[in-house]
Amino acid sequence: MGLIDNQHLPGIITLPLRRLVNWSRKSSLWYLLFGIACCAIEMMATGASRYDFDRFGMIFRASPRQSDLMIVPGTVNEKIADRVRLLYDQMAEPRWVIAMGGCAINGGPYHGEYNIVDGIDKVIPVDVYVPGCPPRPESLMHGVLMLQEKIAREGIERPLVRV
Amino acid sequence: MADSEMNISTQLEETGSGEPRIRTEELLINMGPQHPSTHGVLRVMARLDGEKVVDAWGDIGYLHRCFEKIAEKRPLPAVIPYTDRTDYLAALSMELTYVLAVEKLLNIEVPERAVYIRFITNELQRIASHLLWFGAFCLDLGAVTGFLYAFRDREKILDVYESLCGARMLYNYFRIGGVRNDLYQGFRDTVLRLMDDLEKRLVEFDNLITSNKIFETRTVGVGVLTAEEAIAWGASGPVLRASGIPYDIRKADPYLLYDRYDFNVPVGTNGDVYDRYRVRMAEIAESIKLVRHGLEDLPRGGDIMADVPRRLSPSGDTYSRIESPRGEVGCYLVCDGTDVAYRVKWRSPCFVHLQLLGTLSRGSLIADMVANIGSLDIVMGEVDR
Amino acid sequence: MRDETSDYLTQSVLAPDLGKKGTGDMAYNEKESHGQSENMNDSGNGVHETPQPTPTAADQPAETQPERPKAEPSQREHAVSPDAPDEVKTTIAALVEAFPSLKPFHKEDDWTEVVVPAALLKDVARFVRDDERLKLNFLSSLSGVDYRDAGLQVVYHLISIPAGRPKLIMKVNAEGGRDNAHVPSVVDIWPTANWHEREAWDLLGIRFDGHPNLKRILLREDWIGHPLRKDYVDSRPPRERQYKETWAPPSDRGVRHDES
Ligand code: SF4
Repeated sequence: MGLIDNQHLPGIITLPLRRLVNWSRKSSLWYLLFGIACCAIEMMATGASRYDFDRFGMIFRASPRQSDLMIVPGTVNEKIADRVRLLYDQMAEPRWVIAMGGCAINGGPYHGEYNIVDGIDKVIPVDVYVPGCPPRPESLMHGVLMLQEKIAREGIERPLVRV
Repeated sequence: MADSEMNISTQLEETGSGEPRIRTEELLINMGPQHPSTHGVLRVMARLDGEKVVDAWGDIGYLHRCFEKIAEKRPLPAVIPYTDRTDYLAALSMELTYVLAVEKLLNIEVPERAVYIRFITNELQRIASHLLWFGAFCLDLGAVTGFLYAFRDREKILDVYESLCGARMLYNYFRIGGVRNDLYQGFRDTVLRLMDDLEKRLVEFDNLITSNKIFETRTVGVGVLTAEEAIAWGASGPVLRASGIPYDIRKADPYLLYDRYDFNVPVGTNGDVYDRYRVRMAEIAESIKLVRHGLEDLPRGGDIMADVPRRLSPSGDTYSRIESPRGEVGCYLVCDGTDVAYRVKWRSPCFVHLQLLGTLSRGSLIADMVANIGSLDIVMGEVDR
Repeated sequence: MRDETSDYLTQSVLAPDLGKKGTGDMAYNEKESHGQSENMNDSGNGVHETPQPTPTAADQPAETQPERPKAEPSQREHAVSPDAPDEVKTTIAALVEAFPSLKPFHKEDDWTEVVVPAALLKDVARFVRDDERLKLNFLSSLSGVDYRDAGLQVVYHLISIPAGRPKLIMKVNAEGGRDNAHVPSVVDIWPTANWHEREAWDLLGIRFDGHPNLKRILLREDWIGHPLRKDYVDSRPPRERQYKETWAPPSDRGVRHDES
C-alpha cells in the first residue's frame, strides 16, 4: 500500500484492487438468519444488546440471496441437511460458512446417533469452525474475526491447503 | 384486504367478457424451515384463500436429535446434559424433570438446601425464559425495541447462572440427589438486586407494550382458543391458563417448595394472543416473588447432595411432571435395574402446542399466523427432542 | 453393558415360564397380582405378555439379583391399601364397576394404574373421559415402550383438569407381534393423541388403527426402520466431506503450497 500526497494528487492511497475488494467484503458480512438449535440462541444473543454484532458490520438478513455468510448454529440432521444445502446453493458468490458449535463441527454431543449428520461439512464446505457447546458470543466473534482475516488474504496469498 | 380482492375478482368475472383477470383460489404456501418468525426450524404449511388462512399445520422433525435413544444408552447421570439440550431456554426445568423422576425411583431424599437452590434457580429460569419469549415475540410483531430490552435483562440473569455453574445456557447443574455445587458468595445479594431491577423493568415493558395501540390491534381477539379446545388438545402452561383454566402443576401437584409459598396463578379470560402475553408477564412478577421468598428462607449451610450410591440401579417405571415456563413437561422413565434407563419418554409441551396451529389460525389472516406461532412460545429443541 | 442388560431384562420381564404361554401363566399372574392376567387372552397370535419390567422379589432367585428398592408394592387384585388417597379409591371403584374384568391398582402417589386389553381400549377410554367421577379429559402423555420379545406397549397418562386429579395410567399391550403391532387410536377421544401416536409410529413402529393421518412425523418420510426399537441398526451410507472448488485437491492433504 502506498500513499501519494502531493500538490497535484492529494491524499491518494494506492493498493492492489484485490485488497480493496477484500477489505470491503470483509467489512460488511451480512449473515443469514438461520437458527437451528441451542447455538442459535447464542447467535441471537450475539446480535442483541451487550454483544452487538453490528459493530463488525454484520447485519442479519432473512433471505439467502442477500447474505454473504451462513452461520450454521446447531445440529444438522438428515431431514434438514438438504434444506441447508438448498440455502447454501441460493447464496450468491462469494459466500462463506461458519460452523458454530460442536454439533455443526462433527455432531458434538450427538455424534454417531441415528438421524444425525456428523458435521455440517458433510453437506456444505466450511470456512471457520467455532468450537463450544454452545460457543460463547465472544467465541463466535473470534470466529468472525478469523473469517475476516481469511477474507483479507483471499486471492493474494496462496491458499492454505486444507488439513 | 381479502374481501376487497374478492370483490374485484367477482366484479371482473361479472363484467368481463373473457377470462377473469384476478381470481382468488386456494393456495398452498410453505413457511420455513428457514424463516425468521418460525423460531427455529419449524416448517408451517398453510392453505390460503386470498389472505385468509383456510388451514394450517406444522411439519416438524428438523431438529430431531435422538434424545430418547441417547437416554437409553448412557448411564443415568450422563443423560442430564442432554436434557438441557431439549429445551435450551429453560434447561434447568428439563434437568429437574429428569432428576425428579430418577429420585422418585430411587427414593432419594434431597437435602433441604439443595431443594431451595433448585427452587430459586428454577424460578429464575422461568423469568429468563419468559423474557426471551417477550423479546422474540416483540420481534415477531415488528417491535425491535422490546427485543433489545428483553435481551439486556436476560443477560443479567445469565450472568448469575454463569457465576453459579459456569455456563450461560446449558448448565448441567442438577444432580441426582442434589445440585453440583453450592451457591457462590454474594448470590443472595446479586439476585435480590436483580429482582428489584426487574420489577422496575416490568413496569417499563408494561408502559411500552401492554397498552400500545399497535400491539393491541395485532393481538386482541387473534388466535382465540377456548377452554374446551385447550384441554382437548392437551394445552398446558400459559396457553391453557390464558384460556381461563387455573391449572398449574405447581399448585395441583406441588413439587420442590411450591406448597410452602403463596403465589397467584395468573389466568386469562379470552384465550387470545393478548391474554397469553398478559399471563406470561404476570408470571414473571409471581416468579420474582417466589425467588425472593426462597432467598429469604434459604438455609445457611447444610448439605447440597444426598447420599447417592455410586452405582445406581433403579427399577420400575415412573412419571414425573413439572411446570416448565412453556407448560407441562413430563418424563416417563422405565428402568430395569441397571444404571442405564430402559426407556425415557419426554412429554414436551411445545410438541403438543404445535398441534394447535390449525385451530388458532383457521379463518384468520396470514399475517396473524406469525403472532399465533409466537404466542405459543415454541422451542424446537423440545418439540423434536 | 447393554447386552448384559438385555439378558437380564428378558429374564426378569418374562419371569419364570411366561415365554411358554402355558396355563401356568395364570397362576403366575395371580401370584404377581399386578392385574395383568386380563391380557393373557391374546396369546393366541403369539404375542407375549408385557408384564412390568419390575418383577417382585418373590419370583427372582435371590442370589442373582442385586438388592433393589421395589418400585411397586405387591398387592392383591383390587386391593387398595387403606392409606391410598381417596381419588385412587374412587378411580378403582369406578373402573371395576364399569369393567369388572379390569384390575386397577394403586401405583404411587395418587396414580392409579390399569392394564387394558387392546380390544377394550376404546370403551375404557371413552368411559374414563366421560364418567362424572373420573372426567379424565387431559391426555398428558402417550408413550410407546419396546419390551423386546415381550412385545410393544403403549402407556397413557391421564389427568383430569382443572382439578388435577384423579390420575390414571393405562397400559395397553400392542397386538399382532413385533412386525405388525397395532393398537386402536384414541384420536377421536383425545385429539391431542394425534401427534403422540404419529410419533410412536415413527419411532417405534406401533400402528394405531383408525388414526386419520398416520405418517412419519419426526424422521424423513423415506426413513427405513423405527429407531427406538431395541434392535434397530442404523444403516445410512456415510457422507463425504465437502470442499470448496477453489481448494487444493485432497492428495495434498496437510501440505502447504510453496512452489508449483
Ligand atoms: S453444539 Fe451444543 S449448544 Fe450448539 S447446537 Fe449442539 S448441542 Fe446445542
